[in-house]
Amino acid sequence: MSEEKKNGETAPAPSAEELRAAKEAERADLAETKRVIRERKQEIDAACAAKIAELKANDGGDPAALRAAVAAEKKRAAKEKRLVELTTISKTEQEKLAVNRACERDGVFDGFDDEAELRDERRRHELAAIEDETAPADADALLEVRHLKMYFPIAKTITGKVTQWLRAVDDVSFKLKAGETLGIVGESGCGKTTMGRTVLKLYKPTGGQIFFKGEDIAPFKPSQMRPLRTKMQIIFQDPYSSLPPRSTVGGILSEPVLVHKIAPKEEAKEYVLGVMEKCGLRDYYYERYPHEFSGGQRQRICIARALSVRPELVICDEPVSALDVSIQAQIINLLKQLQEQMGLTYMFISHDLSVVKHISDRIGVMYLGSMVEFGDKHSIFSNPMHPYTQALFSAVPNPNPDVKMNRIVLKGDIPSPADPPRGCKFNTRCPKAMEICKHVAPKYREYEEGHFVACHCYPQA
Amino acid sequence: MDDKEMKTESELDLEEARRNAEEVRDSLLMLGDVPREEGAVAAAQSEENALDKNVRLLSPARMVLRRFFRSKLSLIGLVMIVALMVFSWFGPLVYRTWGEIEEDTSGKIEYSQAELVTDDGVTFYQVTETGRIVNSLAPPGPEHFLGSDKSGMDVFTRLMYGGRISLSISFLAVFAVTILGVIFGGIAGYFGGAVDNVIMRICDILMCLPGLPIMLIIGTVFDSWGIESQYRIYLLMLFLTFISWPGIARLVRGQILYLREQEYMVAAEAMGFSTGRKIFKHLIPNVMPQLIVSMTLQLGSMILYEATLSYLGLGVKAPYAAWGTMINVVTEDTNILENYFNVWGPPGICIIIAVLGFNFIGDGLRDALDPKMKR
Amino acid sequence: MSENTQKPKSRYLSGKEIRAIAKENNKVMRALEKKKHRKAAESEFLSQMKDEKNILEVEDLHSYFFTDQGVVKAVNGVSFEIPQGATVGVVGESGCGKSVTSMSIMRLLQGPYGQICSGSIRFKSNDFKRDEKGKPIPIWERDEQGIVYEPVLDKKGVQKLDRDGNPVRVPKQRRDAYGTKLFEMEEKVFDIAEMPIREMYRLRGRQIAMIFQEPMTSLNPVLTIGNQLDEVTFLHFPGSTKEDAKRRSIEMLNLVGIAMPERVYKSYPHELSGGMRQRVMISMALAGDPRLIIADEPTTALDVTIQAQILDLLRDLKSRINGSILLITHDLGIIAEMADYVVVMYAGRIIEKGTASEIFHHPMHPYTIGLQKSKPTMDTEKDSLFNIPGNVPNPIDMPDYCYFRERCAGCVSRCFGDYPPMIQVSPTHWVACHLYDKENTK
Repeated sequence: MSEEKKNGETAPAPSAEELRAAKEAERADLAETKRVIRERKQEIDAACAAKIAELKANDGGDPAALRAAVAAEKKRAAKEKRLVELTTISKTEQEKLAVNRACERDGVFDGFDDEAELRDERRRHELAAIEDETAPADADALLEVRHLKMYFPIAKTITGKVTQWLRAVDDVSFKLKAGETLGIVGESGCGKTTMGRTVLKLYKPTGGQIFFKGEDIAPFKPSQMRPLRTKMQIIFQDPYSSLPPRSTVGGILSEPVLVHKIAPKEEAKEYVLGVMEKCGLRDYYYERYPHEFSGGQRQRICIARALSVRPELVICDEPVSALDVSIQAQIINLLKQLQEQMGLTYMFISHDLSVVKHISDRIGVMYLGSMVEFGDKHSIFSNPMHPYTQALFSAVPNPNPDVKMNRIVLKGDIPSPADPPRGCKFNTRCPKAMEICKHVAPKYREYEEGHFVACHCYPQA
Repeated sequence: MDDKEMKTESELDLEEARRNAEEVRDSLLMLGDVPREEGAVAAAQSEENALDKNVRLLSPARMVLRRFFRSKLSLIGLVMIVALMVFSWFGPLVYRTWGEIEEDTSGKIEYSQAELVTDDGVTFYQVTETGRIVNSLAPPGPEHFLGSDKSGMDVFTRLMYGGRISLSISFLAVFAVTILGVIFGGIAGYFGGAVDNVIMRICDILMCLPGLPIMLIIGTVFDSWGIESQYRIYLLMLFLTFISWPGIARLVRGQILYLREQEYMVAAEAMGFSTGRKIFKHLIPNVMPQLIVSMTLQLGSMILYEATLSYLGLGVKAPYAAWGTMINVVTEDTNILENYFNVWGPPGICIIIAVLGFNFIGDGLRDALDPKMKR
Repeated sequence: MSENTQKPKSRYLSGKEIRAIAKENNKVMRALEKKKHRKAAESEFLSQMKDEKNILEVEDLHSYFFTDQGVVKAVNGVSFEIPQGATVGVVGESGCGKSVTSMSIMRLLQGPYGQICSGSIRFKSNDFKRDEKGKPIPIWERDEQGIVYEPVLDKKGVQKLDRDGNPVRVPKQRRDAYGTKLFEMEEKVFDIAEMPIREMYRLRGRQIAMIFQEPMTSLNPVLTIGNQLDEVTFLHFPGSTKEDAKRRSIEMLNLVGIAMPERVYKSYPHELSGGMRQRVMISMALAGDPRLIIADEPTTALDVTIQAQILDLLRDLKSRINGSILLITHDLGIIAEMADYVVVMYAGRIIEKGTASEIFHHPMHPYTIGLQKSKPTMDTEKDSLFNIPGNVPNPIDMPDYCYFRERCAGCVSRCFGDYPPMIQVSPTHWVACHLYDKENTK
């Protein structure tokens, strides 16, 4: 078809019969592909069963080891089956993708199949994730996130099969070294809060790996997570609802200390008072109730609660957004001080760029579930590469009335994460959108040292 | 000329003020940034200011009480219930003239007279008491404050004893219903999924059962089994509990579904608390307010239920006293219904007072415990 | 010695104290409620503006809340002016009383616990001129012969005929640019603090419009946007037909930059995003053609890029409408962009007021200085943020000295006396601080 387009002729409109014939062919092709997949899966199943039988026959008498071996074999077989599903593509699909590639090459996008491109993109992401699964974790990263996915089902058929997903976190990868602060920026609906909570396993991730101190905690069950919880803590956005209203401050703070046996019972109160002092709370607050405090003080109580278990990683989910400016400054100073004193690592999530700039070492910018730019603070602030980052920077109001705001105003509203735009998710609002941006998603590449961007403005190869 | 001078003077004043202000401001700015070490400590220390320490607020319990007592209706309800309780439990200890089922036999005396004439012509009369007639349906007077009923029993005393039974049975039943409801509702709300589904379907089925007809049947069954009338009422309230707990379970489940998503529950999860701790130390105490309100309101309906059962003859049987049983007498004799209000009226009034009292208290509590109400 | 044996004062109020507080409160509240609901003749609340260029003058306003724990002096002696066509920004943290000030101007305080206790709020309103029967007087189209008459069309568009077969003619009423009928207007100055509540209908929505903080919940979810917009026209422009109202609403939606206003007109609030809803709120505020728009933190609940859009819109509108804006926010950046005059509030009082450039380039009060220094900006690169130590004091039972002194870096001995008066530093710049008091510095 593209051959005809090149000649400048328009193809004659296909007749109804031709359409029907084409549809028939498509259906047959799909059925054939399904059959092939089914066959191969059956082959794998058979091989797996044989292997298991072999294991059982050669049983060395250790039931636990046998069970582990059988489970590992089953997992391997499942992975193989999934690979088969991903790599076996029907002929019609391959044709569509070929058309897409040709369009991309020529720069003319009529006849581009957006849905096929989207499917292909997801396949490629998953294949990359499976490939990276076996790679070892980075030794000096406290937290490493690989191809993290968090999808929420929105619509289900009667049988329970999910037809529509909300892709809150869509294939995000980054590393966090001990002692540094990673700032995650983005607006509402970009998935930064969901990502913070997923890293802590408060949601069960749909896919991907989370390496904490070299160990993949993504498949951990809640009971396995419990001892790890002391090492990773979270501070919430709303200080008013994150404290139980009917417990005293002393009760709230000493509970985790006693449950995790951080300090023996007799010394628990002393220990809690010490933590309170570090966070700037007076000792006579011990018997008071949360409702007697202001927002800033409540946030201090939340910080004290997080610190009372001596964590290594603290996720700060917009901790200062609900507070006034002068209190914000206090809390940010406190967080920085505590980081130095206790050697903490922060993942600081916020939509306020000036705050993030102040406290982070590295910054990641998210939009609708994907990371669009990631890098060192200085390189991002001196050279924001992605148009969304540039727009975010210029949107912050400058408290100097003489400075003329040369503001990049984005048109349109933030799209819903349940139904994001095709191609580059930012193309509907991007001031630099090109034709290709509407159809093909850009690749997330490293352009400078440690500076990643996903944008068609920069070379994709 | 004068005006102009004055103007310039005020302008000069302003100029000078401006200059002074600039100086002051510069000195302020030179005080510089608060050094980092003292950031948090300075903040902490400056909170030791007179303003903060002197502020005195209401404790949470006092706040609830204050809001409760603000409404006059709740006070009236409280007074009514307390009065009834004192009446029922302490009354008989004070007013001991009559027992619960003591029949007043101070009525007419039946006698037979026999005449005996001796030979001397002296007539002896022999009066033999054959029986005493019960002082039934006596009018209200100093002996019987509210009169007596058909069997000669004192209405006033029976009112007190009846109150004991009615009130204690209601409290027991509500207590049992609440415990069952909290357990099942809590499990359903917290675990969700299949467990929730199963429990809720059980609730649906139980709510479809027609209460009164089944209890009539059970009453008859008890009759045939010859169960003592004193125990019947307890067994019947047991059955009542059985069909009433779904209401509470639904309420608790709804509350837990809401509370589960509160951020402090997510925080508890992030702290690594066990499931049991989360449920019992964090969820249940926050369900209590709603629960207390519904318990109080249920007390009212339980009293009505018990009265209905007794009226139908299923509960406490004569001669023992319960408010419903005392009203039952009107079915036997329309004469009593028409002419002797003092026999069946007071129990009815007591029931009304009890139900209204509990409802007022329940309403007042609901308003007092609602955190969102603007006072 | 005696202090050790003295029983420490309990943290919580005793029952007796609570009852005493309640008694006091009830007395005052009852009196004020009665005043609010009285029937008053217009002469009681007519007044004069001190400066004719101003459209709103607030003088020594005191708004208190009578709570169980005591009297909360939310607004404690606030005076400022809003000139015609200017934008005044009110800055302050939470709890400083800026929202309560705007509610007091609209008389929306939650009674009976929130009351305006004293002070005056003078507003120059442009109200309908009413005839003897109390109806507004229409302006008729006139030409050389006199009043122009136009024929009446019935529903199908056919001319109505009277009994003799002649076409019915009615006088034609003049219409404005949006097609709404015009009436005769006159200027009156009302003292809002003295007005009984029932008279506020003349001002709310029509003369003073308000834009709220939460666009998510400020619109009625069961009515369409068009329905809610038309309501404004029906209420405030008597004699409008449905077509008039619809035309005006669509125009208003266009004015706020909504593409495809017809579609938005028919949709429900839940179908729109936050930014769109805030635009709809702004268009509702403009529909009444108000002289004063009060914007209570209009962009706080929105994202940064949407905030940029809305600020752009507000700046654009500023030049197009001939009304004034009272902008309430805690974000200094927004104030710097939008406001001509700035009023800084702290704990219920105004501590500094002046033009925007004065406040930003020459801040005087230590609180304003601290506020500016503690906001991290995009250009500054600092190790630690400057912060004002301590917290805003609890507003219950506030004493009468400068209650910033515990947190103030420049506190002097004079500060332990009375509350400092407002000191003029320039024709437009006033500060309430003892440091600038001439007797002191001299």
